[in-house]
Amino acid sequence: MKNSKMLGMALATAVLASATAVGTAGAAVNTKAGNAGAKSTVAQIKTSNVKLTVDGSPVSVKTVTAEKTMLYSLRDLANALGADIKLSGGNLIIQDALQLYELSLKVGSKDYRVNGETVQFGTAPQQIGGTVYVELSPVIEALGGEILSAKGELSSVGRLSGQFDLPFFDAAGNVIAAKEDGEVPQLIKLDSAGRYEVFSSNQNAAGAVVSPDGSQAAFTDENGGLYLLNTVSGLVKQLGKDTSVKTDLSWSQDGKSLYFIQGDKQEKIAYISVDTGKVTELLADKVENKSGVRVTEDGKKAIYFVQVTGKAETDKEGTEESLKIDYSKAGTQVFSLDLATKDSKPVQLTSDAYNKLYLSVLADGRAIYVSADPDGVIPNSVLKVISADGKNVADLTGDLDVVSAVVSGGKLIVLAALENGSKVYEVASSGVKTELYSTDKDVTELTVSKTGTIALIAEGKVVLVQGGKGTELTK
Amino acid sequence: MKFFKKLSLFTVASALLLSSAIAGTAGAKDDLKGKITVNGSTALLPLTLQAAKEFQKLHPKVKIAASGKGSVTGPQAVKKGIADIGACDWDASIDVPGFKAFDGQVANKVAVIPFATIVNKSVKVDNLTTEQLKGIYSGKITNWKDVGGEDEDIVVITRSFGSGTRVNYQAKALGGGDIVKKEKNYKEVGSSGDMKTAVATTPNSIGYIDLTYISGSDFKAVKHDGVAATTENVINGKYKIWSYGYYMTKGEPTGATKAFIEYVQSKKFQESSLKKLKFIPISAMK
Repeated sequence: MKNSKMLGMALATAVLASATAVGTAGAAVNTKAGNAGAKSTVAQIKTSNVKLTVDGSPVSVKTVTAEKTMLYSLRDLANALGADIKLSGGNLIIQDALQLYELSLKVGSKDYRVNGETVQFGTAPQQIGGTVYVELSPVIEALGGEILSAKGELSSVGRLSGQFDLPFFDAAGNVIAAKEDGEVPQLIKLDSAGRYEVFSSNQNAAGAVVSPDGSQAAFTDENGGLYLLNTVSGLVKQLGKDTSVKTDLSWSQDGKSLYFIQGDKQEKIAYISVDTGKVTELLADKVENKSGVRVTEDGKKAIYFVQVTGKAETDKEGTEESLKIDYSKAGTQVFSLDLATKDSKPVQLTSDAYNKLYLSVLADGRAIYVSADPDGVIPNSVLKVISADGKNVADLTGDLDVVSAVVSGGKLIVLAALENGSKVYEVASSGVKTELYSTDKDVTELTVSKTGTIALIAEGKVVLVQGGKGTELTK
Repeated sequence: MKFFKKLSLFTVASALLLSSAIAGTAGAKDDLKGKITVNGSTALLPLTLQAAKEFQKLHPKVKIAASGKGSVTGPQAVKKGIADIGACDWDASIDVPGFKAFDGQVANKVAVIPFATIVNKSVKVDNLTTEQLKGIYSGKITNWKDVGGEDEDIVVITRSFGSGTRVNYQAKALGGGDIVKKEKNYKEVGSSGDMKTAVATTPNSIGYIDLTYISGSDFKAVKHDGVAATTENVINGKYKIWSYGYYMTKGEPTGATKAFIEYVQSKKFQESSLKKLKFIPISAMK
């Protein structure tokens, strides 16, 4: 059984319990269904009104109970959904507001048609006192809507289903996320009610990095081109002509520059002016495999990761016997570069063997990253903080198993894993944490809007968090 | 309302789309742990390191340590038990010219690697045929004027024995022809990076490299038999100098190693990061 149908049954039970009886249609109602033609005989019919919420607005809907099933006024439902009802050849034809769905039904008949395809009600529509009553879930679904909860929350548009990742907010507060389970990744824009549109089918745009004000998102293509996606219009424009390999894009706080790792061996750090497209090299020290570059708000310091490789050696003949590999120094380390001082040299800030992820800088110039012990001696992935002068590395949140951390609008938002579920915290510079959201779902990604609203990817679904409550925008 | 405008189109599009699982989606409490060691092809090293970064975001407690020393050292390291994955530019589970099969190893395809002939910017030639390349690398052609260029000695730069780039270049660009060591105007280098540096800094030089490394203005790729070395020409079958890149494992991979290889092979990685590193997805060649 489809989940939505199960939900529909649960909803019927829930609203039945809270319904207010508003009248009795009579001891024995024998009704001719007008031009619809069918007859229906229902004994001891009681009509009631139930409160539903459609697209966030409360509506009152007349109901009756027939064959132990609650039926809902078709007219009330159509009005609530903005659908249109017509009579045609003995059938009632209902079209949704966008005329994408057409439902054809007949009073007294379990058969109905959705866009030409025949399906069946559990209980046939009834006409009582001039009102046609229908099952809720099949009609809502047939008109492209969705029952969101057993508390009577409906949406006039069904949520999009699929597997999503890489979410970010546009300037208007809509969530843009990559739908990854199609033939090609697509960017989908979702509003707070879960209404959606395909925003971009440019598969390179999946994983685009949004600017601080949310107005544009940057991405690269396989030719090394750098592009800006307007998050309102969806238009894409190329930024500059440079075609070198670019990875790890990161916006400056003022949105005027994009920093990135440059080169086929990821050996350089550079930035491009958003206004002019001019690329400026910041560091080319021949140290390969840089990533995760971030620049402090004042633009005076860059921090970045270096993936240190192992060292393989053979004799001159390259014999198998002589092959040795030293992995003792292999791993990720954090470096900083003073951008305010000409010809300054990078400084290595860490040297431990733990995995390091999600490098960010705080407003006060300190750097943070997630540290994970692959040996499992330290069970939690820990949020580490590096002092602004680079001399001290300490735990910021030792008691959380940190999945990721995001700095947005000066706030540090941390996603932590639980044995069963996830929690989101705001962590102050002192390490004091405030819980913002808790769920029993496994959350894998988190993004924060410029106004502080949070969106998550929980088990592949996009979830919007407002006031500590999560709303699934996709299913 | 704008949100609704594209709905019908999307409904149709959705119906046409094939569904597939997303590889590597982690649970919040990720249990995958362990260390994965990767050695071998320097051509595949950037791909391995990029995949490692992304994989560790899904599985933060898996450590991935990588090194590059030429393709043959990949399956050699796996055979010796000093690496879990041997990155190799050929299928080392079968015999290839110059190298016997590594018995018991499984070849896991991870990328398509195009290779290109490159010349220093001083060289005026922009196309070379298989026969001309055979002549140059066998030592029979020693001056650029013999292949349409200036009257200058050709400096041959080649990868060391055991390089997957060399194996594939010999087989596909030289038509199986030999690379003959010479007393002068000849140099062997140990990695793709060294090849790039050598050709970029040596006037009148010729070499070969995987397409990933072609950038900058100190050297250029030349056409082969009139066909440019581009991903498009590899995919459409016009350009022949390419190979699959493989992750060799001792038997079928298991645990974290299996999960990592599956991530590299996933559509998510193949269609995004792998392409942006100028490799070609394995699915493009089907």
